[in-house]
Amino acid sequence: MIAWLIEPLSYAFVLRGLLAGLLAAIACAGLSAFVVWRGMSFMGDAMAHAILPGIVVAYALGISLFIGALGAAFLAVVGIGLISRNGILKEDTAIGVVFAGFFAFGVLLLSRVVSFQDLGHILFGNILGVSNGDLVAMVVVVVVVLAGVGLSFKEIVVASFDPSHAVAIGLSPGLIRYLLLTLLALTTVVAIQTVGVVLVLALLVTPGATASLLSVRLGRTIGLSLVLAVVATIVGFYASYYANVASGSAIVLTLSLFFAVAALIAAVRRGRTKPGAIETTE
Amino acid sequence: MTFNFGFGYGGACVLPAVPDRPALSVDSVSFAYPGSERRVLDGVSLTVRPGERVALIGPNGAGKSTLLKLVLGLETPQSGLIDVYGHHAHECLHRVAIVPQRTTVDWRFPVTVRQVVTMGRYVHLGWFRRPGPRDRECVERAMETMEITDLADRQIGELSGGQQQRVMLARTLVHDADLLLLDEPLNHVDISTQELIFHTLERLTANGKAAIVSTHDLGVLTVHFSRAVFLDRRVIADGPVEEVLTPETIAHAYGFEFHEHYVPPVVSKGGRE
Amino acid sequence: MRITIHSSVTAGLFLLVALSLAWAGGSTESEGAAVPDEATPLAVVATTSIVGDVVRQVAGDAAEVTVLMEIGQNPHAWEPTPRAIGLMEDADILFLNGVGLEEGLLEIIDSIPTGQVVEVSEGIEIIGGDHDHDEDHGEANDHDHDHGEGDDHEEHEEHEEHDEDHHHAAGDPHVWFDPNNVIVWVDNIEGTLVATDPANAATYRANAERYREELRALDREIVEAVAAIPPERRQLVIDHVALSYFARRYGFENLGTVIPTVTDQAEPSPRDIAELVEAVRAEEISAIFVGGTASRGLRAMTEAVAAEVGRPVEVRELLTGSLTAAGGRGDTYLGFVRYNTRQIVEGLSN
Repeated sequence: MIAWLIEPLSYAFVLRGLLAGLLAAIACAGLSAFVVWRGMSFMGDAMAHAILPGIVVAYALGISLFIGALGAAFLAVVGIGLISRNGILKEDTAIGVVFAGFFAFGVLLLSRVVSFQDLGHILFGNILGVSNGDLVAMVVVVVVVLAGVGLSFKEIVVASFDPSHAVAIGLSPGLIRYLLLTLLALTTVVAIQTVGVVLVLALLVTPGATASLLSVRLGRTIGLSLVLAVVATIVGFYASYYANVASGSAIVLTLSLFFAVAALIAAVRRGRTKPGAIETTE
Repeated sequence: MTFNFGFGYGGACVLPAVPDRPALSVDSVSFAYPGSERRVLDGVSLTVRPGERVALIGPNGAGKSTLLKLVLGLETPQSGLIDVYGHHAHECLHRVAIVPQRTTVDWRFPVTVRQVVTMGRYVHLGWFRRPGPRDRECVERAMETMEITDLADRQIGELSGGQQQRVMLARTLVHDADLLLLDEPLNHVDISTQELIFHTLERLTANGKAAIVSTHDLGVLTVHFSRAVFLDRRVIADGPVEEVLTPETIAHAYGFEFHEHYVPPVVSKGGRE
Repeated sequence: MRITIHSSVTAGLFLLVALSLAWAGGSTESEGAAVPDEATPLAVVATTSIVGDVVRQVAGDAAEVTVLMEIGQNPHAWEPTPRAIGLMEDADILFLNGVGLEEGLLEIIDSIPTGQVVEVSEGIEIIGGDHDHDEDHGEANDHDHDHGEGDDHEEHEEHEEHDEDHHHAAGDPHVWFDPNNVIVWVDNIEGTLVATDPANAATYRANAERYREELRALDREIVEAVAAIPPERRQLVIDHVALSYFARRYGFENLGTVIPTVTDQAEPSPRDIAELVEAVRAEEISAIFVGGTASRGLRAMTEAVAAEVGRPVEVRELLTGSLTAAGGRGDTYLGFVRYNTRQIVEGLSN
């Protein structure tokens, strides 16, 4: 049994892949509860797709792909903000427009940069191709994200729960929103390496959604998200190794499985609670 | 497009109240929402002194909520000035607190009653500071006052309308503001909660706080308020409740037309005419 | 403190997009289609730069040859642009490598109203299917590959196209690694050109004969060069299954590949790579190879394999799907082969 666990890890590239998966999962899970409760899933998905042109441009210019990706993510956020500013179009619409436009732009640029053929890896992840340098960057991002959420926790909660109260006490919900979007951008860029553009959304949403089914307290929801994400990554990664399937998808499917189980548990709990159990003190 | 970097958030307010200034001074304020030509408020002037309890009444769309937003600094008027205890609105946020209309809050958010009430202390804490024993004590007392201690660990969405309103008021209590704004606090709220709200307001104003309550409910006006302001984009009337509450203003508040030739029915004892 | 974001940001964004589009609209390697004229030379189009070079050798100045793929383009990954399709339509003859190399053409080739379409590899003895290289594999082939022909593509499919039925013809298309196969190309090209443009038949035949002679000389050169590698070290490891014809002709063994298929548009599994690492460890290979048109990710994985082995293993680049730019070390087919031979000999005889 131990040998079965250890064997894959004896290869450095596998170990790096597992670490990368864990780091990405942790960063995403740290934000997941907020993504779920603030309705930022679409934004998360859009950001992942909007990153494509940034990567291609960075590659063509020979600069760090990480920087290119971040640059594109920020531009996308600015674009979305600009479009939905005056309230004529909903943010939902603005996101859709920017998301598709950026992604298409990326594909167009890609067709011109002949030597860049990594679209498949960008879309579905390249967990085995993670370098030590990549890992370092990922660690930094995870630390920044966890610190960001940890230090600003109560501010994020206030701004999410009651934005006008936040404003009333001088805390700008816009600032909190941009803080979250920044953390989201960093997280997305990191997670793309392991699960790819198409599946980042799953890492961002499923842990938080699953945890929210099982807990009503935000702190516990976040803790549970982290645990679920880590376990799913380990299980999914080993499964992909022994079953010879793509790692990113295996991790995401494991998360989805956890969600299904949680949904069952929640349904059973609801069935057991008597209807109208809300007490009133009147 | 403006962006507030939130430097006003947190920490003890260093600006003392300017002595002898009213709690709230609204001076010829006009406001239209960006992108709209229609003025929601047009040359509104109003003064509230410490210790006063003022009812703000008016029809829907009259600008009552908007006025409260402006006092908080959520929006900026195109013209006119708003001063709170002698300082511009939004300069010293510790002094103003609002009990919001229910709809601005996400009730399904996974926070407990105690956590929501504690949020009222954040204005004194600011970034990076966690609530301490004094804050926790404040929170317990406020929950006791609003009679929600037994609900402290419940998720906020599990509560009834009245209970939720008490939670909001408890949050306002720990904020320890000097000027309280209540936006339609009586909607969907049971009688005992209403009574609790007014009892608390009376105590607060007796201690020198000021309160502005926007409401539709004419029944409470005569009982709980000495002064009313009738607002319909402009201040239509401002004074003692009996003076402000005429059949005309009532009709106006409810959107009815007032018929000049209306003759109230005469109820006579005895048989039919 | 309040900040106002101007519409200059919006203007900046639009400017950026406009500039990028202008840059992106650069020229392709292909020249324009021939202008219709009375004495118009034959308009010939070739898919890869390798096919193009050989066609040019045979056609000489008598035909106008346009190559569709840019230098450095991976032929497995190439998708024809509308412009390329236009060139194919206008051409008198379209020369393909065939054997499923040009995966991007497989589905559309029948619907393009082209002139003649000629697969230059017609008549070559094809090493067939993904599994035929089994006999060349050493220990590395314990993995149970249940790939059908279509399987490897499912993991990769381009997001916006979803061609589930993307299949490739049976066989290993990398025929050009054996100059004797290119002699067959020359025969096919010569035959087609002569039949289509009899006026220049003499030129075509002369060019073809001359080039065939050069190819035979090249073949002898390679035999001599690889003699320097001791037989037990004639083992090839490369990013995808591209060297089967070279191995067959010159007596090498295909020890293993990072991607175990003849196309590189597939994802290796961790176990595939682990087994390759074991295979390389077990043998005394001093160098493994990566193709010039391999993607960044594939390159990284090949290097990871080399690093994983535990003793120094060089990663040497070979030219695979494309010639280099003019003036480079492999700007003709002959140069291409010579360069590769040198790399292999130097890498394996250390």
